[in-house]
Amino acid sequence: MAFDFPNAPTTNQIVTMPDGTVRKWDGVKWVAGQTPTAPYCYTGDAPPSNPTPGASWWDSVSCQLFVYYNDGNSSQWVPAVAIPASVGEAPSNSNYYARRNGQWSDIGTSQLQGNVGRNVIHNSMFNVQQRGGGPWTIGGYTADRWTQYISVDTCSTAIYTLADTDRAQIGDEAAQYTLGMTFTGTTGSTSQTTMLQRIENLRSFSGKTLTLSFWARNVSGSAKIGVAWSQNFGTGGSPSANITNNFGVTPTLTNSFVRYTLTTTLPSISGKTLGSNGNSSLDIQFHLSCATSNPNNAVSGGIGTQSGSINLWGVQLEIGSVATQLEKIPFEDDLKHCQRFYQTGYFSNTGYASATGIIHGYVQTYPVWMRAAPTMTSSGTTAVNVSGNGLFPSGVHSLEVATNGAAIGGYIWKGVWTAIADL
Amino acid sequence: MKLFYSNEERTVVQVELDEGETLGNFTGPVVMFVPNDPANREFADIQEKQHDIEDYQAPATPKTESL
Repeated sequence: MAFDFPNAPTTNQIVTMPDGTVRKWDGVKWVAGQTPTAPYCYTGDAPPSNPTPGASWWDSVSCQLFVYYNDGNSSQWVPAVAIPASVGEAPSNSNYYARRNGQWSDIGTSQLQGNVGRNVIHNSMFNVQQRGGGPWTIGGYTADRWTQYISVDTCSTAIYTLADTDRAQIGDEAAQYTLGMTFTGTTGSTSQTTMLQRIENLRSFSGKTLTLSFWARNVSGSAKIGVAWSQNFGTGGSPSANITNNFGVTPTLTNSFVRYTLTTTLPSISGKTLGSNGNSSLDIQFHLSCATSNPNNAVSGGIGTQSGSINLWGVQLEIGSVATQLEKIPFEDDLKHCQRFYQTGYFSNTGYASATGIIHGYVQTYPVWMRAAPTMTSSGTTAVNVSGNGLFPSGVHSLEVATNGAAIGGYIWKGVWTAIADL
Repeated sequence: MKLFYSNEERTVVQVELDEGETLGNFTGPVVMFVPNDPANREFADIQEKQHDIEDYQAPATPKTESL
């Protein structure tokens, strides 16, 4: 079979013949070249003796390919592929590590154990505002799951919108709102201002190491935040007494947002008794002021009486000894978490009363099942030809709207219902 | 503070708090319907403080319009 050489070869162009031999174009004619052989690579635990530059060696110990290389001054074996600087094995303990920039970092166990939803704080970024934006000046719930305790002191709490400069301080453009507290501490033996969140089911956290992280700043004043945890055994029956201790204290907050991290280990509750009402909780308390004569000053970390104005954002409590990146769940999921404890909606019970003394009603289902059968309130109501009405919680999943017509004829009872099953 | 059962089955208590009165997480004035669920903070508070609850008052006997 005739071989068809290229029509317009370039000098030194090589072609392989059907028999495996090669020909090279010298600019005038095709000349015979060497018969190629498979590239030779020495394999062994040690390099071959008397190598020539260009020789290769497969190190059978390190499983690495080397080339004998002359750099113009000397010859040596060099890796055929660049090897990153060795950082050795991760520390030998039970923790999990990730390598970055040549160093091992303890990443905790939570993420690698599939602990999706690692932040057990609800409404950590204050995006959910079912109760509005405040201001709240008495004790009670504020931005959904966040509740304040004010004793003797004064405090005004509200949701504020963050600006780009605030987001730059935080380092996260996801930040939209902050919880702001302006407080004036007093020195009485019961004087105290505390913002807290009660986290359902004490058992989930007992005997575990927890890390709390949050961004905070002083808007005015020079306050520190003393954080405490409380194992609340609930009510009903004969529950064990609550156990409360200090989680840690921040330094004096600066006027810019800074992320603070505190870590502690909670005691086991083995042998303890939970209340029979099923309302135990782990309470995370942010003490803003606590008089030195108040017995709670010790668990606050001894912050004493303080006054000022602070902002809070991005609160995260997670199992493990390391503060991981703030978990930012979708708003609708955040809302669902909050609706387990508080939710609101419209009702409208209208019809024709064909007789008096007959209750007319209907049942509607909550979008999210609640922690317990909720307490119901109504607001913004319109009542026409009714002599009695009610919002009857039916378990944790639905409510019954009931109206009693005052006289024969059309009737209306409508408004806004609110279902509350807060801890 | 006024408490009375708001249904015949006694599963719900209607509570009327006056100004400054407290029950569970609530501070008056407020009217609320509290289920008899011990996990409910307000009902647990009613039990703990042993508040008296008045009986249910049924609406008047049905009276229909004569044809």
